[in-house]
Amino acid sequence: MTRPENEGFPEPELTAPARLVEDLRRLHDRTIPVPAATDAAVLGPARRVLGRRRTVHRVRWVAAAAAAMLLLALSLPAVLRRAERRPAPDRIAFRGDLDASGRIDILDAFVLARGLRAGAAAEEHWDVTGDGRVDAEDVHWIARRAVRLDQ
Amino acid sequence: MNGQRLPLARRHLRLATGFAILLAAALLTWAAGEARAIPQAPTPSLFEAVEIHIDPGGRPLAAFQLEFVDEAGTARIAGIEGGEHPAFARPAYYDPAALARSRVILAAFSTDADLPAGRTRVATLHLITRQGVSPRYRIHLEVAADPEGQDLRPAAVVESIRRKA
Repeated sequence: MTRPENEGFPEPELTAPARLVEDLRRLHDRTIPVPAATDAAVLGPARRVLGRRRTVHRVRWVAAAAAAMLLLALSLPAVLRRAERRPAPDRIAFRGDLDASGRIDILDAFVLARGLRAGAAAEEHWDVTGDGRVDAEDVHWIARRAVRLDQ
Repeated sequence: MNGQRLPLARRHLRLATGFAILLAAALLTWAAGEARAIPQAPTPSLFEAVEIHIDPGGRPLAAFQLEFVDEAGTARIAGIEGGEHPAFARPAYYDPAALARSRVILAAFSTDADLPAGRTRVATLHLITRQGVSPRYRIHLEVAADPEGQDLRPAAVVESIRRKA
């Protein structure tokens, strides 16, 4: 049977000499004085580099915003022209509702057939089939749509 | 001998016999069900024609749209004929899906100068019904207009006449 070496013999608290303790504390508390010239030599170029980066970043954002505004300005006239050509929403509820009654019925086909027969100038929303022409096919499309059972 | 297992061949024979009995029972049950499902005598079908007339009340009728439905759901639409006046002689527009159903929307228009101003047959529906079952036909005039597109419905009358086909 063996016994631990220090059983029954408490280890004494180690104490360092006061001077050594003080020196060690000073070692960590010490602030190293840096001359102002060295500070300026390090910080000056760092500020210049960071300042350049900020400027580049800002320029990029401004360029993106300018491009977006330019795009908007260029497309606005086309959008406005399209909106002018399109029938007002309160006039035409949906494709095929030529008389703006809010539903597609045989009267819409009749309106179109009458217009075609009279040689009236075709309106854009008369081309319900979307084939670029206004003809009897558009009339049939509306009439067939009017009698659909699943509407 | 108790506690002894049956020989393998005999066990297989018993299993096969049990399976055969179950199969025979299932077949018999299915056959009995089939026999019950076969009607004793099929209900004879009847063919009926329904004429649809519109009276526009003295003003020329240029366009109409109406819904025809058998509310009993027993009649099936088999065919659609045009009207009597030349302006509506061609069959009206209808959804082909309405065939073999009991509801249809009919619509027609004419840009002719000669239009019916009095009572006129605008369509004839051919229907298949079953003997002993009474269909309940209903017609709703959705559109009736003159050549200017003016609504004629306040004065217009729609009616149906049934006849044997």
